[in-house]
Amino acid sequence: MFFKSRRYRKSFLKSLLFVLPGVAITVAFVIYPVINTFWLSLHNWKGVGGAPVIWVGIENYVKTLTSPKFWNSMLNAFYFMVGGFVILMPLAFGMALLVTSKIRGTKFFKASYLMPVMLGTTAVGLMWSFMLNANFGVFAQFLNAIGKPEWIMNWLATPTVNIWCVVLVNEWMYAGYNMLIFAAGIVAIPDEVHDAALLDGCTGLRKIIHITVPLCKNMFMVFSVLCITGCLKAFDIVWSMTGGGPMDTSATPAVLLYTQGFQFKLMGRSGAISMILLILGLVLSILLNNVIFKQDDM
Amino acid sequence: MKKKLLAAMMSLAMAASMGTVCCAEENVDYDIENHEFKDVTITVHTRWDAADISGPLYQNMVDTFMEKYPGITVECINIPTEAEWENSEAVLMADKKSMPNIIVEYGGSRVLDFVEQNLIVDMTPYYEQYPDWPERFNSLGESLTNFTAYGYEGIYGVPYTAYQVMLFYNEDILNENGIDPASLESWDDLMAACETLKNNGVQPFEMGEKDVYRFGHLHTALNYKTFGCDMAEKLGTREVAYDGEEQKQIYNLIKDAVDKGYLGTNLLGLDDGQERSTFGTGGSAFLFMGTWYCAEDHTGQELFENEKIHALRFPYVNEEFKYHDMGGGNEAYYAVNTGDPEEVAASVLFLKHMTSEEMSNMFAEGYPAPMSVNVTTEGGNYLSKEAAEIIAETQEVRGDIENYDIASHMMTTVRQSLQSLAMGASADEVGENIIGLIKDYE
Repeated sequence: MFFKSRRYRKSFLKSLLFVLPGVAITVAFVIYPVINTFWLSLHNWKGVGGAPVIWVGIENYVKTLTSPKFWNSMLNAFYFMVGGFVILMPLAFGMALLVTSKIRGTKFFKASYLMPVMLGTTAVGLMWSFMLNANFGVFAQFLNAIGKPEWIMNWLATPTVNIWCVVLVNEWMYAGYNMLIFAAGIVAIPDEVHDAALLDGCTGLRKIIHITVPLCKNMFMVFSVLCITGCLKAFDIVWSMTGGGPMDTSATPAVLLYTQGFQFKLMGRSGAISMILLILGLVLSILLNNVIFKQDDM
Repeated sequence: MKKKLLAAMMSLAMAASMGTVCCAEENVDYDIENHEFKDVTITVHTRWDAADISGPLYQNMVDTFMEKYPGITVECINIPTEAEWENSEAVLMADKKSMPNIIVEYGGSRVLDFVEQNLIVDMTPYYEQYPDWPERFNSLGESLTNFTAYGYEGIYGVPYTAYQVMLFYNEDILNENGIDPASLESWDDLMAACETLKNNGVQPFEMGEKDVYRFGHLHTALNYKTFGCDMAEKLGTREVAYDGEEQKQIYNLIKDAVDKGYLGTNLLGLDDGQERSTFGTGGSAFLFMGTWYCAEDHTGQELFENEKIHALRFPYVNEEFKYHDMGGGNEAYYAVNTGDPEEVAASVLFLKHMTSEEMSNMFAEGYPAPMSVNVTTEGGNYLSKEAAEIIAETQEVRGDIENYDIASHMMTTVRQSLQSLAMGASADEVGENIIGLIKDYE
């Protein structure tokens, strides 16, 4: 009876009006492109306006999943994740502890840690690719100066070494940004908790391990989801430093989907890579939320 | 009664729409010079570089055009770096709504996809309307606009610049090392000179293979100098295989030079700009480059200003093909059929303006590179004159060898595979990689 009442209908329509813009934007910019990409992944298209779109079923998925290039790009994405969890996470957390602590000069630390994020990816990429140049880069010059020219190598053109260079630059760039995530969690811990810990004699590293880290669990979850999805779609820093080369050795899946689509004109293949990335990102995020960071554990 | 009325209305509508199409076809105004344009905007996608001398010259052509035809606005998308320009074009040409009105391209398979989809305007009726216009083009750029080999009659595009790949050398370095430039006729002569230089602690070449076209061009030039220009068609039709003995011979020539360190000390770490500046400042003895190098801005380069840099014909591998070279039409402008007749007419008019005698002379005086458009001016620097003398003796030319292929991805596929030579790959591996990618992308 209530559902049919005039008041309910009015309230329902009002709510709908508020929800509608958000729904429309999500449909237009998320759901429609995803459906369209899925449709494209089942077809072959040369990427030229007006060119025929030919149904091929799951062929693009089969070719992608059996391609060594794709698995190499997945390995590179995995390196990004390893770098993210092993280097970036402790680094950003440590920086957050530093800037939230009551020591002098925190303003200077905050500004300097955030500077790489403010520089912009292309600027960072170009700067580091010049620094890493084996002919005139600062590292090569330093090694020459200390009498170790044999240690100089073409860092950005040597397989595996090149992707790790990009990973490290990525961590350098995003440490400040992720520091903000952890800092937000740290400052949200009530002072009473710290005071109680102090009374119990829990200070220093013990306080960090037993108080700060557990109470920042939400922040670790946010970091993990951002890190995993970010690593799967890493593009800009790779593109500006190596372009995915040489020979696709430093290509991430996002770089590969771009080159397959716009350089090799294999739009269907590119669509298939996009769908695989989307599914993988979703699965990993859900796993993280429901298995590793289960709400009832908190 | 209602059904009859509906049927009659539908047939009328269909007949009217057919009539519109027929009339539209018949009513295309090819006399573009006398056409009145009102608020038409066209977009031109090019590689002109505002930082080089060619960019301002091109901008001057755009400005004079807009002054002459105030009803037309020209918007420019100029991306000098080849890879970025290719990517940008691919993105824009993926949808009719984003397509530029004019694109610059190298002809061949790179344009074939667009011609196949009827996206490139056939210039034949415009050339018939203005018979003097095609007379302005020389034979250098013919291959860029002719697609009959692919089964498409007509003339697609307007050829503009031309080139020939040559060997530039530093006179001082060669003299200091007792190498007579006149003796560098064959590839073996060049390799012997490289050995001498290397033994004397001088770097022969410092190629920037970070830009993958560098080995791509070397592969093309060596093919023509070994097997003649016909190899382009043989490879293109797959009569000759990319993993066959002939091609392995070419890969091995490059590999041998790479392994001996003749081609560079940091092949994958340098780009073509750094390669040119290294040579221009005396950091290497040779530069293997297209004749656009002659036209570039060399202001402040002591070697160039003192005329110490000179041009040589690229050495032959097989003497029979001494005068077969990589070159010809470099770039052509293609009017894109966006579906808007006003835009198409304005685009063609812009191309006519660009290739007019006045504009071509103005451009050639400032940027003395070979042109596919006839120029009637005596311009150029000492190096472009040396290059012109070499070109005058050339008997046969072809462009990038991958561009004669039936598959449009071949330029990227072959160039990327050749890059592996700088990473220690063998000739067999390069051939296998190319064939594997061809199969994968079929």
